[in-house]
Amino acid sequence: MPYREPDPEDPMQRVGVTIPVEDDSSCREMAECFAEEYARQGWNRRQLLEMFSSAFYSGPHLAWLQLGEEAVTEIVDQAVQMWKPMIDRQSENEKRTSNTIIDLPVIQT
Amino acid sequence: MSKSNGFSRRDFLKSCLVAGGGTVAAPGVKLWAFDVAEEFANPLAAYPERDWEKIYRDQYRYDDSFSWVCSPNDTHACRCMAYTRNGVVTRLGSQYDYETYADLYGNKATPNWNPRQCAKGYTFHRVVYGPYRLKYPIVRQGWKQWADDGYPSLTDELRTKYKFDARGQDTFVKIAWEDTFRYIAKGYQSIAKTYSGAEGAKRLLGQGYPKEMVDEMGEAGTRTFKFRGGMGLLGVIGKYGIYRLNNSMALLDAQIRGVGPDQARGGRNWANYTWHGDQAPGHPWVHGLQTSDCDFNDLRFSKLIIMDGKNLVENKLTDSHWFIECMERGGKIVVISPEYSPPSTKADYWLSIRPQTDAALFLGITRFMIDNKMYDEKFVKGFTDFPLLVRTDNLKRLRAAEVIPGYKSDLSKTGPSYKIQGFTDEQHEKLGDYVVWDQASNGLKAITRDDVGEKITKKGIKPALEGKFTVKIAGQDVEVMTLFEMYKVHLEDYDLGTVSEITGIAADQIERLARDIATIEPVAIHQGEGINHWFHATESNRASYLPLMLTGNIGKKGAGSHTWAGNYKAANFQGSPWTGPGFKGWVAEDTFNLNLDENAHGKDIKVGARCKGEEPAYWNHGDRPLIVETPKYGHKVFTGQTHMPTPTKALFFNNVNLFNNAKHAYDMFKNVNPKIDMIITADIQMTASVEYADFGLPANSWIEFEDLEITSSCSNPFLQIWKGGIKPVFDSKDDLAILAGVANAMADLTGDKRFSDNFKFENEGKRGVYIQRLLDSSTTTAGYKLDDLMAGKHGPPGGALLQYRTYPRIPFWEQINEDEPFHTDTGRMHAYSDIPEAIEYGENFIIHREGTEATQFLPNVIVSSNPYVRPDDYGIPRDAEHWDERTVRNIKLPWKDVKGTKNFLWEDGYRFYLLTPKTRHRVHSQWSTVDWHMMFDSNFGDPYRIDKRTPGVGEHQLHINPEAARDLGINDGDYVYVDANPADRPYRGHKPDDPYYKVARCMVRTIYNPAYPYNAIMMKHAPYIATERSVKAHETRKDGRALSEGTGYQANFRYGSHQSCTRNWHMPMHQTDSLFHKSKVYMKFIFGGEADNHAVNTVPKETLVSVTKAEDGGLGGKGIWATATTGKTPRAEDDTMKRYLDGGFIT
Repeated sequence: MPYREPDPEDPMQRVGVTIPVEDDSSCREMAECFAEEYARQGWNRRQLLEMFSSAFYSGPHLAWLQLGEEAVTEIVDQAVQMWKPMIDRQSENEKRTSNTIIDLPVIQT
Repeated sequence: MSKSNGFSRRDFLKSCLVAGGGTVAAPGVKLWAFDVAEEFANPLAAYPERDWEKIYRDQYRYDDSFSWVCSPNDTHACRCMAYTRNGVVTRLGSQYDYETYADLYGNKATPNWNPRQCAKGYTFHRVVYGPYRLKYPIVRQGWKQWADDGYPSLTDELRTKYKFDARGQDTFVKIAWEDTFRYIAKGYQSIAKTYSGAEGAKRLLGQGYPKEMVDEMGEAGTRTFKFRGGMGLLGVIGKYGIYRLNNSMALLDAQIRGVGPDQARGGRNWANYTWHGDQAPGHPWVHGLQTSDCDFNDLRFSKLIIMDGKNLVENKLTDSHWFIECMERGGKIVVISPEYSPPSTKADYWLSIRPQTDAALFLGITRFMIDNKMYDEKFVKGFTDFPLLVRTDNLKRLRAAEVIPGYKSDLSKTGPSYKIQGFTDEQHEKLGDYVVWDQASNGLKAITRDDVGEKITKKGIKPALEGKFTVKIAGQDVEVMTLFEMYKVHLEDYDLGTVSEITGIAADQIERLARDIATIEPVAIHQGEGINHWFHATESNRASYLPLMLTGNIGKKGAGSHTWAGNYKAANFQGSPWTGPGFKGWVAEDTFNLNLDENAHGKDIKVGARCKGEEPAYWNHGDRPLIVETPKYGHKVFTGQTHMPTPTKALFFNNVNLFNNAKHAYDMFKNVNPKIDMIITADIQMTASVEYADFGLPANSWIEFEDLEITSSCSNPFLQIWKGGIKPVFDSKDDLAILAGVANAMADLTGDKRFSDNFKFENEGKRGVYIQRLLDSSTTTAGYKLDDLMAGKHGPPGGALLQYRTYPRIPFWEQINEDEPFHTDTGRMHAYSDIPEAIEYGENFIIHREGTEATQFLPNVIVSSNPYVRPDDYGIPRDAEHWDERTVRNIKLPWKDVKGTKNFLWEDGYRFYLLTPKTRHRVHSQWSTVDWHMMFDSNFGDPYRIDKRTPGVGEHQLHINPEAARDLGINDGDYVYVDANPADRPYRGHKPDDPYYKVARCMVRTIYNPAYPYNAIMMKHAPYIATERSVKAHETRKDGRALSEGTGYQANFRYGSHQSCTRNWHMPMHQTDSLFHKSKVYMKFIFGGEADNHAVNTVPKETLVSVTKAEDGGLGGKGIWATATTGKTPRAEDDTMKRYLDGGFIT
């Protein structure tokens, strides 16, 4: 049981456990997860890039700082390519439901 | 963490792919996601694997549950549910059954109390299972060496040898429980021997302790023992039980000094409520009661709620809905605070006040109301001291015996004074009776303390409210005046224009509030830490009552002046002649005459209090009382004999992060604690207090308790008894089991079995015996049977209503509705005090004084030209700078002259009031290391710790007005140094090149906050402070975390803390021997000091600081903090943000 020290293999563990990082690819994998997660919610390319570049989103922003703008842009472009149908559908929904353009959920910077 | 642990993120991703049975990678796209070439018509049908849904739906499943009480020092004591799976608590939730709580008469609570729980209650399992628990007993290596060397008497050299003067750098070693108890017992015996008798006294005098402190010991070495049950009401058995252990130390004294029970002494019981600065110290001066506080559901009956330095939004989370109900019912909300605070957002209007000028505000309101005849004359004559006559020669109230020849009092022995309140002949003889001018007979009439309300009318007396008269006393003509008449003179200094200048509030706003108080009914004023944490809180508290005394807003629903800072109310277990000793029967049972019959009724327990209360404030003041060498009188002792402390040589506290929460903490570590021979703390977590102790004893948490515990609250009517539902996660014990362990070891060491007999029923696993005795003998619980309560006869198992006269409980209901006297010497509410100390200090009238430090004007000056205020300045010059000289210097000046004075600190650049209120994300220091709370509590919360300078996943912050910051060249997010008076802070004797100075100097992040006035900054109270070990970790660990090596202590600061800037102040008005008031836990009266009741109330806000830039906020210490460059932060708004603030997104 995880009572003595944090145990990364215990799903009942109550405290965040650091995932080991062996090489630079881990950060890229994480960035790819962020990009995919939000692309699947319909965020477009501009919104995804703004998320990564915004200090308010500390996880993606950490990737932005470590990988650089060029690498993150590449990741975002791939995510947009993969999840284009979801992004398009979100855009259509916005057009149908509102005449007012509010650039949420990403805060403009 | 190495790969050898067998698990990495890459492994995880790979294993997911394998477990998922492969995936559908799209040609041409990298394998980091599924390729979606087209939309699925039915995604559910296409999913390859749906087992995850079961896990998702199952995540809240539990296989067992139990009820427990979340009992931090927040006054709520919410009963909650814990849900377990495989014996592990997986989540916590509210218990929606408050409508079932009943008393013996069948009264039930309203269901509107539901639900009761806040985010702290929801995350407590993260504390319990988290990495910061204290996991097993530990002892400091140096202390153990001292013990193993035979406890030699500690010289300065030996204190260095055994690292008593470097506790923060020593190491801890693991120790078995039985060895722990044995070492502690021997430590107590050794210390008591060392400091007992004439030799002990000589030794202490040689160490520099004042003679007054040493004399107070009466040669009992055990009097150097200090015990503190951290906010004992939070667990009456386990926490307050430490005072029972202390009482038993009289057995040790008897053995060492060879004295009998009549002379044997235990140690000193340290206070809680006053130590926290939570008491409203002015309350006993007005009505004689420790504190006025109503049940929270009384707030819905108010029509005007005034939050004066009170934040019911953030600090009363689970019960803040009651004041919202006041709003829903059409009531009005007014907030008085320097900053635009969370409750200000709910207010009808907000008065931004200069800190610590609240007394002036209420005096101005009072004058306006009197000038405009806005008062209830009948109430004023019946229940206040305004009609009583006061001599203008000596400023004492006129006594009946002075002017009525052959006077004989008609105070009845069957009246409420004697029969209910426990008034005694001796007290009556000392106090006498009082005099009014009777308009019916046009002459003097005596009145007793029972002559209140209708009773005075029935006597045919018609007191004059106004008038000046001449009476004969000892053949001499003496002028007397009604107090009301004197107040008209007194208030000449407090016209609206003057008060506006003093407070910074516009005159028309003051008038508006005065008219609201006069015309809206009922009115309640709620004062909190925002008021109580200032040096002159006494006057702010007293002044808040004046408008209510004029309008009769006392003793009825929705009315009164209340405060609920800290769950202090031991009086919920108050004793009485008709029920028995109550609380005292538990903490102070006669250790020489213990009742060992488990079937004994609580009323049969004999009390023999051989301990004495003491304020930790004295330890916090260099282990000194307030003694000043004055130019006029020489050596003058301002600490009353009823308050006098003794030297501190052994310190044992539980359930409290005492050092972390101590004002001037780094001075304690550096200059005070090295002289203490043994420091023991019992806690559930690794704290700064443990790091600077000799013993760290792991206690069980609320959900691990192995037997029953009991608590109640000052803000609700619920009696709560509970035990835990999971086995202790670590090698920890219940609080009472720890205390019993020490007692048993004392018995083994001394051969005196009575030590262990004090905990006989704990040792036998029958803790309920003590709880039943408590229930039997307390006025609010008499008649309850523990078995019935645990069987759920009066509510949920373990729950019931405390038996109050009214629901909601309304302070002074009996006084107003049944004409009982208030708990003062006159039996009336007091706008005046004629005790010698108050007259000498110039506070016989309620008055405004500037602070001793937090002011731009002459420190401690009295704003008055009233000829009936005659303070003594002791010859201390105006330019005296020592903190104690400023404390006692009483200079009276009218405002026009005060305006021209200066505070030397202000002139030296210390121009910020440092406000340190309590946060919604912790309770005192509890929850400080819960990851979620660390992130929520500050703008710098970051689970990724992008900036490796941050001490953890969160970081403490300083709120500052943007314009003030910019004037100092400080950008949003920069690190700054916060410094107070360099004469004594962060610790006395510091030098800039001292490595400890770097540890102790406060460095903190700034956050721009326009809600704060220019000269007021705010840092929340009681995060985990930086220690020598945490600073070393921060500077040497690769990841930069302030996580101490060896102890696992996690600090919330990189360097220093808010306690780097605070200090203790020994307020003279808190240390009188003359104030007559009610005892806190028994139906009787006392004169002078009582811990938590009339005692030094610490005042952390009495602090002026300077702010200077330390480091850039940007990554790597370069440039501006990235968030402040987004255009979404104060004073850096981009067009979108400006549009938002202007309401531009609203269509």
